[in-house]
Amino acid sequence: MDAENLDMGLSNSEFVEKTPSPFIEGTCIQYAVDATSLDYAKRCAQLYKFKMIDGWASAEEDIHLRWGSEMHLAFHNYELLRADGIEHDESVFHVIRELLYHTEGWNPEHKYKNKAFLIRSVIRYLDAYQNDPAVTVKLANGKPASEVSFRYELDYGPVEGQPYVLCGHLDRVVNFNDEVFFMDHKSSTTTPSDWYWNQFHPHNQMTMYVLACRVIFQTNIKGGIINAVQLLMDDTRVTRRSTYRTNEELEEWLVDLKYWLGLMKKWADDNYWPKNDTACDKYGGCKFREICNKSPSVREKFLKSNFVKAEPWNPLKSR
Amino acid sequence: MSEIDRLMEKWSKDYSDDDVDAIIAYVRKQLASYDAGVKPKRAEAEQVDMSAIVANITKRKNIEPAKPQATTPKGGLRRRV
Repeated sequence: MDAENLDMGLSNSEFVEKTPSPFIEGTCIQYAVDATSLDYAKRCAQLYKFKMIDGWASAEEDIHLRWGSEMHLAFHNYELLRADGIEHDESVFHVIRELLYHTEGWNPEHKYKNKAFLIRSVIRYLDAYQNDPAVTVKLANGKPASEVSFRYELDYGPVEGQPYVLCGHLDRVVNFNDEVFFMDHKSSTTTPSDWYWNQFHPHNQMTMYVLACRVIFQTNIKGGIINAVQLLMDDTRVTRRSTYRTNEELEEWLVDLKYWLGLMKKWADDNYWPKNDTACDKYGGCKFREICNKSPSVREKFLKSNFVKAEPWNPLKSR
Repeated sequence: MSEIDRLMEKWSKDYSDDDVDAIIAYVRKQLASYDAGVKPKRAEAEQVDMSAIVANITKRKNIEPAKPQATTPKGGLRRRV
C-alpha cells in the first residue's frame, strides 16, 4: 500500500508553522474545502459565513472542539505507542499521563464534556479495544495510519490556475476482515439507536472520506467504521458500526459537490450569504439563531456581545 | 466536585507515576462495577478509593515528586521516571 506522502502536512515543519489560507487571496472564495466547511455551507450560507469567514464562535463550541481534540489526540498517542511495541497497560499509562498534562488548566464545567469524563472515556475506549480486530494500517513510512492528513486536487477550480482541493483528517485507517476502512470517532450523549446510525448515510463527511481513501490509498475501499463514544453520567459506552458507499453514490456525491462549490463561489462573488431558515432548529438548534432572529441592523452588536472572534476554521491546518 | 475531579485538581501541578496509576485504577474500578451491573453508592465508592489513594500518598510523602519531562523519544510522550 503506497501512502508515503499522506502525512506531508505533518512532516514539513515549515508548512506547519505557516498554514496557508483556504481562501483565494483577497477574496472570500474558498478553494481548499474539508468536510466541516462543506457541512456549514450545505446547512446554511449565513452559518458558513459566520464560521468560516468571520470566525465567530461561542464558548460552548470551544468546549466541544477541545474535548474532541483531546480525545482524538489520546487515541492517536495510543496508536503511536502500540506501534512502538509498548504493551497495552503501559500505553494507557502514558496516554493518560500525557492527557493530564495536556489538559492542565482546562476545567470546563460542562455536564458531559468535562475532564473527568474525558479521562474515563479514553480509558473505557482503549480497554474495550485493546485487542481490536480492526488493525491499524501501517503507512509506507512505517507510521501507523492514525490522524492521517489528506489533500487532493479536483480537476476544476473556482478560478483559472487554482483547482479546488479536498482535504481533511482521517482518524484512523484499518484493515478489518481483509478490507480497508477509515475509522471515525464520534462522541454523543444519546444512545446509539438505529436513528443515530442512520444519520451517517447519506452523510457528507463519510462519503468524502470514502472518496479520499480511494484516492490516496488507491484501493477499492467501500466504507468506514464509526466509533461511537456514548457519554453517560456514570459510565462511558463504546460501540461501532460500519457505513458503506456504492460507486454510483460516490459519483452522485461528486456531481452534487460541483454544484455546492459553485454556490459557495457565487455567495462570495455576490457578497451575499442567504439564510436557510429551515435549518435553524436542526442539529440541536443553530447557535446563531439568537443572532438571526434579531433585526439585521443590530445583529453585529449582538454578535460582539454573545460570541467571540476566533481564528476561523482552516481546513489546511495540520493536527 | 467528583472524586476524580478532586484527584486531578490535587495533582494538577505534578503527576507522579503513582498518581497516574491511581487515577487509572480508580476509573477502571468504577467502570468494572458498572459492567458488573453494580451501582455502588457513590459515597461508598469514594471512601474505598480514597483510602487507597491516601495510602499511596503516605507511602511516597517524602519522595520528591516526578517532574514532567518536555519530550521523550518514543511517540513524543513523557515516560515513566
